[in-house]
Amino acid sequence: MATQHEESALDHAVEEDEDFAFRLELGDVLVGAALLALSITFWVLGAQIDDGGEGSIGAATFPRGIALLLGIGALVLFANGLRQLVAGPSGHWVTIGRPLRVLMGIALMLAFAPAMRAVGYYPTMAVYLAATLWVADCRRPLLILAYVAGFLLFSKLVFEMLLSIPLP
Amino acid sequence: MIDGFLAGLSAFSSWQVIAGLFGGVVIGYIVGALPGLSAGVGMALLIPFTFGLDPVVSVVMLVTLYMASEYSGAIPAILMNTPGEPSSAITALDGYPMRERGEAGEALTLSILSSAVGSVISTVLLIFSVLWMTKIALAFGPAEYFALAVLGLSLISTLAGHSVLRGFIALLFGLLLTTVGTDPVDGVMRYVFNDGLLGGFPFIAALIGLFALSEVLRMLETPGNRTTPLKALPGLSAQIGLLKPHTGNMLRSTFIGYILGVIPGAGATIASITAYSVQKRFSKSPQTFGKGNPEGVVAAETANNACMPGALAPMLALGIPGKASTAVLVGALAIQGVRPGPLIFTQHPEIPYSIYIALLVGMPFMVMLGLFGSRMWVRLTTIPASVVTAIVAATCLLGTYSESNEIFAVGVAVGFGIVGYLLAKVEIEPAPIVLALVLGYMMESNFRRSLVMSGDDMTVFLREPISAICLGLAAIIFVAPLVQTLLGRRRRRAAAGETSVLSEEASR
Repeated sequence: MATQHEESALDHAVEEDEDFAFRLELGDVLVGAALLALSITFWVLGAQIDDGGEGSIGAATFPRGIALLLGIGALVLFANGLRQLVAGPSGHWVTIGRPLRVLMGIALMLAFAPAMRAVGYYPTMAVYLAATLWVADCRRPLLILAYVAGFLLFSKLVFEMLLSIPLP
Repeated sequence: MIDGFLAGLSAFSSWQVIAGLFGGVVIGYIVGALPGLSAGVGMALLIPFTFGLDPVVSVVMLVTLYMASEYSGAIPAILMNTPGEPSSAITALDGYPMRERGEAGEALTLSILSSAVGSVISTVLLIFSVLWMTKIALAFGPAEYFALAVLGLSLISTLAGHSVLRGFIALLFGLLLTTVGTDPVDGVMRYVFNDGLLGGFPFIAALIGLFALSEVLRMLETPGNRTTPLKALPGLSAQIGLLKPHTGNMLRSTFIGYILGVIPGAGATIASITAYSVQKRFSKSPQTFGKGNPEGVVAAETANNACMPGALAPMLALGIPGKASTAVLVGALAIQGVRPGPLIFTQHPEIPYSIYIALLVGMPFMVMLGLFGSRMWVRLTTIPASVVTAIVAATCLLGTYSESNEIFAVGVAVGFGIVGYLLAKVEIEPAPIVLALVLGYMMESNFRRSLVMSGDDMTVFLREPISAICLGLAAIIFVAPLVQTLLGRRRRRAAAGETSVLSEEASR
């Protein structure tokens, strides 16, 4: 009963999944900050690379140079975004349609590799494909079963038997 | 040459050679259409089956597999935004938007026909220029390769979309990722926090993530019961007519593809990017590139298929495999006791000439398979989006794993997919990241090798003529859009000034 209630709540939440929108400038600020952090990380970790190779340009020079340039670019993106954010709406919006489904899609993708390592390819792919079909709006159980069976058969015939690629 | 052709033709009187040709085309067509499986992997998988075959049958089968897989990589690129081959990533830029407009049939037809034209003309070029083209290619040293990489990166302005800053950020992000792994000159580890990263980020996994898995997430944003309206495909004879407006584009792209194919290490991806960028500059509607312009599909497909016969030139004339696929071919010939190089034309003339004939004879068969196949493939677009989304995601994950047999690569593909999706939301496109992933290693390794060889003399890049020309062209390509913008602003200011003077005079 509780399970039925949880399922219907999930169904309801998914059906009610409304678009999520925010200003492009805010996106620029967030992405600029993330890329700035990435370039600082590469710059700092680059200092620990053994740079004593042949010639004046060592193993650390290129990555640190690129990190510096990316840092500058990210800073410009961040500053521009912040300036426009303060100045008022520009009319540019970023929209993520049905964000709950996108998040579920991301979660399923993230779970795929660890699950494949733990239980192997076939059970992982069966669950992954069925769940992704459901998230993508395919709600007919027989159809889901047919697609899953067909794909697993395709994997077996083409990849394992024809191309001799072992699947874990 | 005539004797060589006769020797090659006599080999084609055997049914085994004809069967090998058809078998190679069909297997290549399937391998290329599966994301993650490249021509090189397909050829490597086929080698054990060629041990007991005659050398001509074996080489014909492998070469036609190579040719067909270079084409069929465009099929998933157009239909699912999932490049079957790395070089098909550029085809997806315009092929997939065409599919979304219901023009999948036209995009597939253009891709097969332009592939055929590129491959046939390039094969003719190969026959007549194999020896002297190879000599030019051998003049490429580290300085020239570095300059070639810089020239490639200068094409960023074509792939960047409307914001140059975002394009550069994407390019630098991609370049930074290429520095992960073992350093190309000293062998020092850089940013290796997992053994799977010793060789850097796996390229195929990154490509599948950036293009296909990010697209899967985007597809989840819209209702899954929708189907793409499909525009009717014209009859077979009318399909040929679709190529008519693209004659100049195909000739330019063939030439670019062939030249870049001959240069060892350059490859089909760089050829596609270059041809695409050149066509965008020649186009009357450059603003529609990336939004479903057929010229983009034709340029990319012609170039990457023209690249393939070009890649055979250094292999046949010097025994130098310029890329993974030709390396596999050299291995297959070595197993048969045939050593590619200058002597192959005198000791085993039937081998190079049967390769030429296989490329020319196999092409019509591939075209027929492609044209009839496109009528079947376009039906995929009528399948509901929910099913396409899930099947694309599953195929990508399976393809990524099968390419490297590493679960780590699957994680990398997912990571790139999520990053690609988020970056695309703030209008940072994946194409410049891919460009950087292709060229970053080549640029750094050759830059540093040049300096080591020249004793840290930076002028080495300007002293070598090929390098100087490439760098000069790159500078022009980098600067031209800025000059155009400045001139445009000046013209607008001048026009605004004239208008205000006229209005002042009128008010007096």
